[in-house]
Amino acid sequence: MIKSREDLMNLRNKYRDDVIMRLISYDSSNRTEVMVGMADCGIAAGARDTLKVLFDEVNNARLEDVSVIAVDCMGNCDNEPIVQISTPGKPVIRYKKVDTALAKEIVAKHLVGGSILDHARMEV
Amino acid sequence: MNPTRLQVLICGGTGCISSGCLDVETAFMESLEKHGLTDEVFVLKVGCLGFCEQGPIVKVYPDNTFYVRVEGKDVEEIVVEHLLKGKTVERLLFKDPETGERYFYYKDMPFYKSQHRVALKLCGIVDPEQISDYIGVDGYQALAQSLFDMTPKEVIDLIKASGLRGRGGAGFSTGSKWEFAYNVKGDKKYVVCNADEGDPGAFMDRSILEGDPHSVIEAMAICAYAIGADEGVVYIRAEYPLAVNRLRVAIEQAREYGLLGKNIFGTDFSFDIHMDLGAGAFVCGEETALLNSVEGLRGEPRIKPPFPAVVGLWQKPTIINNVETLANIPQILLKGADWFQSIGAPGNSGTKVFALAGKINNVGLVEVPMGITFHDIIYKIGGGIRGGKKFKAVQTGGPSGGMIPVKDINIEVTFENLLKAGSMMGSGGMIVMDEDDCMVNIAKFYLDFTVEESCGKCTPCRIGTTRMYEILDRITKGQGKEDDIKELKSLGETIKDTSLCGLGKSAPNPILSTIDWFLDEYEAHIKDKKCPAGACKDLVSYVIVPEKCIGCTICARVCPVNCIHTVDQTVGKNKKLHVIDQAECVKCGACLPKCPTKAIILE
Amino acid sequence: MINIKLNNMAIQVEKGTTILEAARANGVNIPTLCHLDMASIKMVNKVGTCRVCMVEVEGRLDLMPACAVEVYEGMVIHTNTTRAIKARRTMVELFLSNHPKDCLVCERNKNCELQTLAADLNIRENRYDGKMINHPKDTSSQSLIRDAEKCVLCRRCETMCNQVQSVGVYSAVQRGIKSVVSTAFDNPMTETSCTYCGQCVSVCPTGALTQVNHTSEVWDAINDPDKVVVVQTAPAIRVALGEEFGMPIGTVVTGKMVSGLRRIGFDHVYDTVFGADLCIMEEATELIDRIKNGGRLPMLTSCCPAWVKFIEHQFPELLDVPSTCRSPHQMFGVIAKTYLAKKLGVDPAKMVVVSIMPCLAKKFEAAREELSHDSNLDVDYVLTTRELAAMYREAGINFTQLPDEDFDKVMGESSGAGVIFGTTGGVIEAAVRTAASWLGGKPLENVEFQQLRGVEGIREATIKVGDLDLKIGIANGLGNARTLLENIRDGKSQYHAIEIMACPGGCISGGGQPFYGNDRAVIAKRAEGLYSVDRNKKVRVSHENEEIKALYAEFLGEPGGKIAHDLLHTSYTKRPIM
Repeated sequence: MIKSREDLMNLRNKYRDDVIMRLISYDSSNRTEVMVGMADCGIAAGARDTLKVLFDEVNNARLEDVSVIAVDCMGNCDNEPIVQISTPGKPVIRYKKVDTALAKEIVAKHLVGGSILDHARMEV
Repeated sequence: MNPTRLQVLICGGTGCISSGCLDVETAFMESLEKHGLTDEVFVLKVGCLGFCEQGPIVKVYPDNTFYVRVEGKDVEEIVVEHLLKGKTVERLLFKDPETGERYFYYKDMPFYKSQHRVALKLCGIVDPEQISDYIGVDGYQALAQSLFDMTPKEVIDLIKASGLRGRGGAGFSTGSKWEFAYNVKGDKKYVVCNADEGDPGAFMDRSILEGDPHSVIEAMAICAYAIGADEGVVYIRAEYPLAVNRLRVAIEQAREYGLLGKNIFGTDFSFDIHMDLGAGAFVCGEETALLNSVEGLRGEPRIKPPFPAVVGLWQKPTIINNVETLANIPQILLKGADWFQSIGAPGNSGTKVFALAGKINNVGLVEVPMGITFHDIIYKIGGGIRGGKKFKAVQTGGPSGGMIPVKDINIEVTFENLLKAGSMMGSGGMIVMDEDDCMVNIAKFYLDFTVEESCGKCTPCRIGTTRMYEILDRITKGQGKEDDIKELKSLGETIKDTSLCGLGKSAPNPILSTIDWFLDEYEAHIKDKKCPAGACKDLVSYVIVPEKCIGCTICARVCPVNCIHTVDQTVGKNKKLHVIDQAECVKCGACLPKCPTKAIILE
Repeated sequence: MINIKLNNMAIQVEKGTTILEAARANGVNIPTLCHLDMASIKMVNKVGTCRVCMVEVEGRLDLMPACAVEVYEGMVIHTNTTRAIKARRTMVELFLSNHPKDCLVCERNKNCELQTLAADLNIRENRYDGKMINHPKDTSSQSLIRDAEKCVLCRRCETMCNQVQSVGVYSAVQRGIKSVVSTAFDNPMTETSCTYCGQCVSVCPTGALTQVNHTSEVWDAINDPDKVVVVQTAPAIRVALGEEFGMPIGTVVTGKMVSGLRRIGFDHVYDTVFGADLCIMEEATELIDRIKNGGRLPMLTSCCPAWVKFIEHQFPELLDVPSTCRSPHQMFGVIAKTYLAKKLGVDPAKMVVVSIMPCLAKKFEAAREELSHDSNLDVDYVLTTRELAAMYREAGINFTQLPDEDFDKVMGESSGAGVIFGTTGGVIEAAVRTAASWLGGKPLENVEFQQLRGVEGIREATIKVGDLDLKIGIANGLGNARTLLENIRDGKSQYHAIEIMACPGGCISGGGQPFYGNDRAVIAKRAEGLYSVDRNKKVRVSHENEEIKALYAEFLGEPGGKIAHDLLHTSYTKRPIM
């Protein structure tokens, strides 16, 4: 029961999480895409765990303009799991062998902190 | 709430439900269960996405994939290949019929590229049956803003400044209308939403109510605050059971959350809404007939003036707004009048939703900025004329509107331009016609509808439209007389001059408009007793071209009245020539497509 | 005051004036059809359905209906532009295309507003020819006939029956060209709550609503050598009949009416007012009885059959409230077939009693089973004023040149009290004249009770009679009757006696009277005619009518006694609302 403007705002913040994915995607010109290579090879290398961690960490950090998307195999299968980050206006960054620990680091240091993890980079 | 990493949105508008989206939904639930993905994927039904020709439509977020023509049996592949393994199922992407290109992102598609979804913004995004979705996307913030940051007069001034005009057809300034009601002193006022959408083929309002009912509810509350009302009525046609249900659920949820009822947001503003179902009368979409219907009287219009804003429901000041008009209100409040003015054309700010139908490739619901040309709608968004035929005319405004012929195809769609061209904006029906459409027959078709729906109160509409119809009927049956065109014009103009309400006043429009632009077709019907488009059954003959007949007897065998006989003339390999008996032929058309040598033609 | 321009004339009118009113006040007539404005009886039909009164107003894209639009400051109106004239003609042509072309045999031939319009607008061809309404005639009732194929949807009957009379029998039904005004489920009149007050017939512009005619049956009786035909005339006839022959409105034509009836061939010509006096004898007795002996109060007068049917349908729980007296012409009929028959030496089975009434409900009343003896109806036929006028014409009688003659003796004498029965307030004034003198024990000095007279729909007065403050209520028009009845039902009524007449203005405005359009001044003049007859009478109270005294002495015994009760009183039937 909403009894004040604050009540509405609180609910809005609470419910936003569920809808924000669709809203951002509605106008995706501003969003950062974090792509995780899947396909059978990626899944075999543990990409599903990587995907889950990336998604959870992005959510916890409330990074509204970041989308975590599973995509098809990006090639370079021995370096999987591969994570590619593209932001409009910035160069595309690819990370190799991203396990759950590295995934956490990518979110904290790259997405939140803004600094690229050179040690984990690979050619695009 | 823990969001899932994937959201699958299935278009749940009436169109896609008819195409089988409920099967798709069931298939998803089963497949996700089977593959253990129920924790990762959230499936929901949303409102109309507009591309009805290509339904059922499935969208995958955050990928932004737009799958078309999805059937239940396609779902397993989507789940395994895309949801699990990240690989787009290309064969389910929309393929451009001409270039063969497959589109991944819907905004790149020609159908969507020129559109600008404002009234339909949240249709296809929110789950209409979950108020939490609407609140999550800043729903009811506009109402809060009105109540806490603005006076009623300021709200009205904002709507006036935005230039929003009624989307029900007349295009009257919404802000000015609200101001009339605001200026009337009184302690009881009403807000009415006209959801009686009666134009045949129109489903703009239906889609908004099915897909995003809360924007309408919020807008009604804002209007109530602005004019000083405490009670709202949504008059919705009973033939929209899904919309009725979605709205009912939305109202109940709004009440649960305290967004309707007493002391909203803890202020002293109270407002509640109830629904009134229509009983199947087109005339009840006319605002005063609607009010009479709500009052339990026969659905007949009242004389105006006085206007409903001054003397309305139960004789009290009442604002009646169309669904689409209301759907724009919350965004205008949040984003400002300048934002709305930046869309559209001078004096015609904002967008218009059209139900694009007829002989066009991409049939569906589109929302375009005012000022777009018909050419762009038909060829860019609509994908051009079906079957490569020639464009003849586009009809706007339903049975109240007129034809826009080829010569006007580049005019910009605005209220004024359409009136000048002999038509009107109407509520948003837009029907595209090609060379095979007979303009006389189409005019008759629309008049048939109006004659049937006339309430019978005033003489010109009750009797006059029937007399016009009788003349048109004779013309299409080859019994046209010399003076018929003159009589149609004269009677049509008098009916426009004297009718009590918009139904009668606009009933002659399709006829007068087609006479203006397609006089040659009328003359062919009357003088030559021929229908150039080949649509008027009484004026066409099915004839077998002797030179092409091979005597195979297929036509005779499919004829339901046995009117195809042999004559004593040899054709083909020692067979007999076949001839259609014109006196017996009922023009059903069964024979023509069956002839292997295309020997049967329409004359 | 508002300044407007009408056909290039600058004129000033009050706020709230319609274009039509402004025009007519300034010598410009705009033809109308559905419009009917009698605000004084709350009959206002400004529905704008016929679209005949269209005019051009500068600044408006389309034409406007003059009858329904109020003028505003600076309005510029043109009533006779080509566009407006063409619109009006087209409307009438459209009406004609959907109307039976049987004017020559129609009840309203020469008196039909559509006919007049077509003639005035110079319509010379049936331009439109096509589908027409197809609706069976309703001839189920004794009183009125509904021919929906002649309906022009003016909605006057609907307004009259719903807003003024509050009976609610009519509504527009169906859609488009099939629209007509009809009853619920298209039921025959006999299966509705219709009271047969006939006010709808009074206001119908065409032959869609007409009365039932019994003239040919009466001619047959007159020409049957075996039958003795007795005719009685209601008070309201003598002040209206002259209008049918071009005489000034309100002229009292009693003498000519009587001599004309003899020339038509009626065997005996009597006055219903005799019956009215008889009615007062019984009713005043009943009122005093109820007052003195704690009977049901208030008591309602019961001479109006339309209002009796109204209470039977609408307030069946109050059937003990009206007086049990029959109506004057029914009382007359009973006495005619007993007392008079004996005096004349005529076999009652061979006597035919005809009432000339201003009323359509009387036709229904006369056929009520309980108003008969040994299967012989007390009143055999009821003819309206209009039917009587037609009989004179048919018989080749030149009415205006008739000599004056008197009613026959035995049942032809009447008092002034009985004569004023025909107007609202008249019945109760007659009753008070007698009741007051009986209660007071002496003749009244002044028999006129001005406080009971008037035209308002609901009136009241308190009359001092000795120690008693006699509280009187009066209603005319069934909508007003409903108000008083609701008060009685809710226990709020403080009256001793109430007079109710179903027709606004009383019987002089009945459904069978000559048509008066919308001119209520006609009704006022007819009322004045009745009051003038009363003033010129020697005997002005019912109980001093010598023939009445003789009737009681020779035949009835006491007023309210057993014989009187058996013959002159009745009971009522509960009816459902349909």
